[in-house]
Amino acid sequence: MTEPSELLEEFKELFDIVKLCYQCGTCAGGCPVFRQYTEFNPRRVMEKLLLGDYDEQFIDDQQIWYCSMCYTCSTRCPQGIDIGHVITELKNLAVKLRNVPPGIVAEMEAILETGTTAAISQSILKKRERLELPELPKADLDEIQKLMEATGAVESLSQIKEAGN
Amino acid sequence: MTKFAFFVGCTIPYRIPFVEITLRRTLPEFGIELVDLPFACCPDPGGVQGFDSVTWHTLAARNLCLAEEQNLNIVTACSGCFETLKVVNTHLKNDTALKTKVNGYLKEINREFQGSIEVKHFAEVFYDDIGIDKIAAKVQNPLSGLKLATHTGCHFLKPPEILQTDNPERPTKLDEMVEALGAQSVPYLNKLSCCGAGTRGVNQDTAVAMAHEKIVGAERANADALVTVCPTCYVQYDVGQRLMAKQFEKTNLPVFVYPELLGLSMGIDFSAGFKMHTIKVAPILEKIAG
Repeated sequence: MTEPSELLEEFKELFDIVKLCYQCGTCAGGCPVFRQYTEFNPRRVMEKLLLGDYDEQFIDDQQIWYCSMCYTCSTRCPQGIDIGHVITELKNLAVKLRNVPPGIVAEMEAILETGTTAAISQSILKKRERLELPELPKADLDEIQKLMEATGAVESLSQIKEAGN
Repeated sequence: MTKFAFFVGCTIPYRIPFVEITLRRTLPEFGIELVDLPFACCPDPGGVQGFDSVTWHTLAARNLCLAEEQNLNIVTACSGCFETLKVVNTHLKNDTALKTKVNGYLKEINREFQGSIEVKHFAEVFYDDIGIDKIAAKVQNPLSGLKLATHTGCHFLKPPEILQTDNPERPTKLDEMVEALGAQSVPYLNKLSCCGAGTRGVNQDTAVAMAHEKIVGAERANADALVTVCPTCYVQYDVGQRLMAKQFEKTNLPVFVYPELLGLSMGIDFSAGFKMHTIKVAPILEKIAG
């Protein structure tokens, strides 16, 4: 398993961007998730990073996965911080520490096994026929698997499974 | 005819295929030819990028390579696919180190990203390539009297510096596109807000509440229906109203994806697909028929 300290080295470059944050809260003000669910607060995510509260952020806290990736915060940040990108980087780090919601793991496995995130049922194929839609050319699964092995995604998935996550 | 590689994605063909047929029937009427290629998942800009950004870039690059090898630009049916493919295409064209890294992985499958094509969303093809005037000229049955709440959706607009489609804080293209069909675009509360789909996988109650807030806003503005250019937003709003009814007071607002309404105004028969909507669209069809 990758140790947190090693990962934080990777994170240093990102911190150069994060440190521009002066906690104005414009991100939270525009965040559509925060409006419905105040536990997820992009300003607090940035605050934790500024305070160096890394363990909680990266390992224990799954709040970053609640971001809906709408990029409203990134568009509005007066300091030009791409907060959506910061959150994506945090997610990538959390995955390396095997802190990832089961739904995301299932999605990765579906792509690895079928090339698509959709469940292709008989009933949907009948629906396609009824609509006179053509059969779609199938992706070469061997190519998808080779690529996911090469990038290390397959290895990450098996480590997450082993850890029983 | 202008040829495009047609990137139909996962959600449309295997969840709401009645949207796929509307694009396959309307685009050729404007001189656009669609070519199917053995694409895989785009992949998803939320989940897959969140899992591992390098894998996300690499799998997207494979899809871009398939279109490059045919010398075809891509038109996407889905806004999520559009964001992924356009962002990755732009990153790889401009970041030599990343391109070298990704091409190292692509070598395993004997492919190489060149950076020779462009990626467009179908709404850009309608608005920017075909143009409002030509759309209006095709209208046989104007959608007069129909009040529509437009929802452009996040993945068509942001990140704006890369996607460059419309004003991310005040988009107007979809409004102009529905008005070209004779309908009226009505302002409503939280018009620009996200549908919530991105958080559905980890926090369904919040995702439902986010979509509900929009449906209520549209109903209060007396909209007859909501229209979007994104299949994921469509699912949130149409199928989602069933889930909303468990948390909130029941709503009953029909939802469309733009080419359905375009086809309707052009006199193309999409009745088989309209029956597949969760919220019944019959009242809208009756209203248009007058």
